[in-house]
Amino acid sequence: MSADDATRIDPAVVAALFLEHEDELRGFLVGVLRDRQAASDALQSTFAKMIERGHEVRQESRKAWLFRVAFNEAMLLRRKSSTGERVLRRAAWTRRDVESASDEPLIRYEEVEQVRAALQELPAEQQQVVRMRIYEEKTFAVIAAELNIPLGTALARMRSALEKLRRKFGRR
Amino acid sequence: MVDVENRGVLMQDKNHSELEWLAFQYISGEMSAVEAELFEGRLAEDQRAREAVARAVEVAQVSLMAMEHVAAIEPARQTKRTRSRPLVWTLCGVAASVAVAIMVVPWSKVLPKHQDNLVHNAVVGLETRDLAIVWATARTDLAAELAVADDESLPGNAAHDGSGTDEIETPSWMFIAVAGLTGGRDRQKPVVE
Repeated sequence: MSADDATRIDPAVVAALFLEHEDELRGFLVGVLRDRQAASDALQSTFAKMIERGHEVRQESRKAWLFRVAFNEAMLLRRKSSTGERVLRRAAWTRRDVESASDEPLIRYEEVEQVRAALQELPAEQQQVVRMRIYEEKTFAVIAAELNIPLGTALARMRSALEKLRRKFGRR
Repeated sequence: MVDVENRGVLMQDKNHSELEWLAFQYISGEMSAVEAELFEGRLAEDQRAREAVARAVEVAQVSLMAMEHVAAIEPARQTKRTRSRPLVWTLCGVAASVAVAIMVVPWSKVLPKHQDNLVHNAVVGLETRDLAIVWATARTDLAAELAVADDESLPGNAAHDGSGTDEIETPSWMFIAVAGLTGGRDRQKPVVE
């Protein structure tokens, strides 16, 4: 039994959980659904479930519970929209989505600057692959063909670059 | 004991790194249908995998914003530099045209004789001043707009000697034009106000 009321979780607790986990949950849902609007819908459903059943969840398990419910909501949405495999071939980022996300909190600017500096520190060949994959939205197969390198080399360069970026990202 | 512990940590790092890479492949749509299904089976149960997906999305989105930011700055710099050059050339051309026109036009024949000297001096003074203003404007615009002076492409620019200052010299043709205006009497540099 949680510390909250036996039949209902305190709405203030739910609000606090939302503030704490919203960004990470939304990122996770965008990763699964590849669509910001669908991710927002799934996020709303997830917290609706939290209000409904959160009293059954132990405090230390709430984050994992939220993520599991979010995943289930995302799968439900995907089945309803019957986009299935088509969705999985799409990338979780688009320049259009990033433009609309640019109004988000000021703290984003510091993260962007950190990553910009980290990108400039990458070896040129890794910078090139990162740019072609993320900015130009080309698949690794296309990148390998255009640069005349094996697919494995393109993947390895991207993987190395990502490891360096994650290390510099600050939070990890 | 230490060796076993280090190996344990290394294995964890390797597993962590592997999970992060899998998460990126998943969110970038690079997995086959079978691979994606397997990974989603893991997402249903493994909180670390879910958090890896969230991190991968964040890194990708922030990287994209960083590259958008760089792309926005670079064309603006290029445009400023290329826009300034035509402006400076235009101003130099106007100044040169004015100087040539003054030298070529026989003012004594155009103007009534009794007004010739007065008007001539006024015109010379005016045109000298105009040339000076045109050149000063070009200098000011060039210094303000260019981040890096392209010494070879602009007339009269001083060679960049690495002293840290890029002075723009008044070109010799300007002196010749002014000397021609004043009949060689005024050998001073144009006064820039």
